[in-house]
Amino acid sequence: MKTRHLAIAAGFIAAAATAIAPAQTTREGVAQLKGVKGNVLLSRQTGLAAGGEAARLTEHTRVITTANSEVVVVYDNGCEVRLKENQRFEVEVDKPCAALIAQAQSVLVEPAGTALGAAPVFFWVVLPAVGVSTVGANVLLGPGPSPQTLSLSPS
Amino acid sequence: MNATALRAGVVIAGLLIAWRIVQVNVVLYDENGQARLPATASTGVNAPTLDRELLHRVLDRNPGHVVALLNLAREHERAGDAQKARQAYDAAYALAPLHRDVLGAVADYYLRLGSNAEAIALLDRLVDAYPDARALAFPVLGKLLLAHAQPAAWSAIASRKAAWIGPFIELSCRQGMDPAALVPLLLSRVADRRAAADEIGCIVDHLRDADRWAEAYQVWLNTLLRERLGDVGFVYNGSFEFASSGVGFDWRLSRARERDSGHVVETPQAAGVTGQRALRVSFNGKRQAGIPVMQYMALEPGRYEMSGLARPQSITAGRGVQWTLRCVKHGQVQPALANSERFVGSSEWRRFSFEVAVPNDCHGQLLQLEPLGLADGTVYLAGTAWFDDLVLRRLR
Repeated sequence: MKTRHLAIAAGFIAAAATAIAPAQTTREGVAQLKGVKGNVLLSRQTGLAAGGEAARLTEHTRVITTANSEVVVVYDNGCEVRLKENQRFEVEVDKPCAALIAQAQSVLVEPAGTALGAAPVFFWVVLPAVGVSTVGANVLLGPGPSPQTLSLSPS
Repeated sequence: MNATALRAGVVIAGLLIAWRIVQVNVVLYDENGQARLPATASTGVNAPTLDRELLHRVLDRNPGHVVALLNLAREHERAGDAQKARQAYDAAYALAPLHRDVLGAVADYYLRLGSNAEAIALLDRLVDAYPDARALAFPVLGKLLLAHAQPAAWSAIASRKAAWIGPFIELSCRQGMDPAALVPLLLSRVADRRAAADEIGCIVDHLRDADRWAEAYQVWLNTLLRERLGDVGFVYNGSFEFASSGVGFDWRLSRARERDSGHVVETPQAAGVTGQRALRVSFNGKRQAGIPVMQYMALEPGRYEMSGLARPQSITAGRGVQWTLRCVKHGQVQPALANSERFVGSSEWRRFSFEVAVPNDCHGQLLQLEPLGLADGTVYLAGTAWFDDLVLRRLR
């Protein structure tokens, strides 16, 4: 009887171990995605692929967001790295959380503003009518009639 | 006789006078009967001065003469009378807010004042309503964009989905403006599905040629439809199931005429392959010119394995074809990092693979199908090469 109970207990333990093993397999990695919004891509063995909610991340996986997208990389140790749109982050371990957070970087570099200096020159010129050059005001006034000689009526 | 001669003389004199009247009027007045007045906005130190009295007389006769108003505004501005200048510009704008010259001259006035938001708003309307003014106005708008002048004004233009933004992006990009400055405008058009392939292609290509591969790749990723982002891969569309756009990091299939290139590139439906389509390159036995198929890549440094399916059919003339992966630096294609076996003769579908080591200083690459010996001189090639399921796998 006692032997039978032991056998049943051993059976339960074995079954439980079998059931737990796959779960442990799916928990591979060191972090996972949370709050996926928009298009989030993960680097896989054959290149970038879409990353869904709760996707597990192994070390060196790159997480990339596109426009109007965001996601949080949640490490198993509780560290959370928030990515805004068009940012990239490589999953690393053995770094303080603050360093990991600082590691999220924008892929699209905003160009340094060029000082306008002098106002942009536009050289706006009224398009002249038939027979007058469009090069510029000086040309208009050069070979053409002096404005002072203009009469006030075509009639 | 004398009377006849007199009549003839009178007629000739009359004709000469009439001709002179026509001549003078053509010079002095435009086809609408308005006095020709000179430029309004060229207000540099060398710009000609106009008689304000004359302008006032023109305006007395025709208070709606906006060109005269603009000239008067300029003269007041030149004379340092800011208030009268402003009043005249405002009056011209109030009279004809969509007049080509009003938009241009008043925008120029605001630029001189440093009122960039107002200038941008007017230039927006100018290039929207008068496409012929774009060549003049786009460089000015480009400078304002580069200077981050008035981001709110630009946001307003982007949200209004102005039709000129596409041509502005393309022209500015082609004229060498920093493509990164144009990216936000491009992405706003991508979101609305209004971005044209030429706009996207120009920006991605310019970033890539400047060795800004990560940015180029990111911009291109943003232009892909959501359903295509599910499996981008290192080799994009390596199964050839989707039509090639020829843009960014997608396949670029030769579009040259067969008689010029010596080959035809297609992705037809094919039996015995994964999926429904495969790549087919048909060589016509004549001299080969150019690369039939290529794809830019932005691989991280490291080791990879390239694999795929191939089926050569009667590739007889020439030494065959092979896939190569080359670094690209400063827009220049470098010697091959690795290449596949040669595909010659005939065989059924078979798998091929080769290893690639991407060095640390190689941030962008080019995968291409090359006829062997093309770089060495004249190559003749006949037969057909099929390919499918090209995959690049990272090796740890």
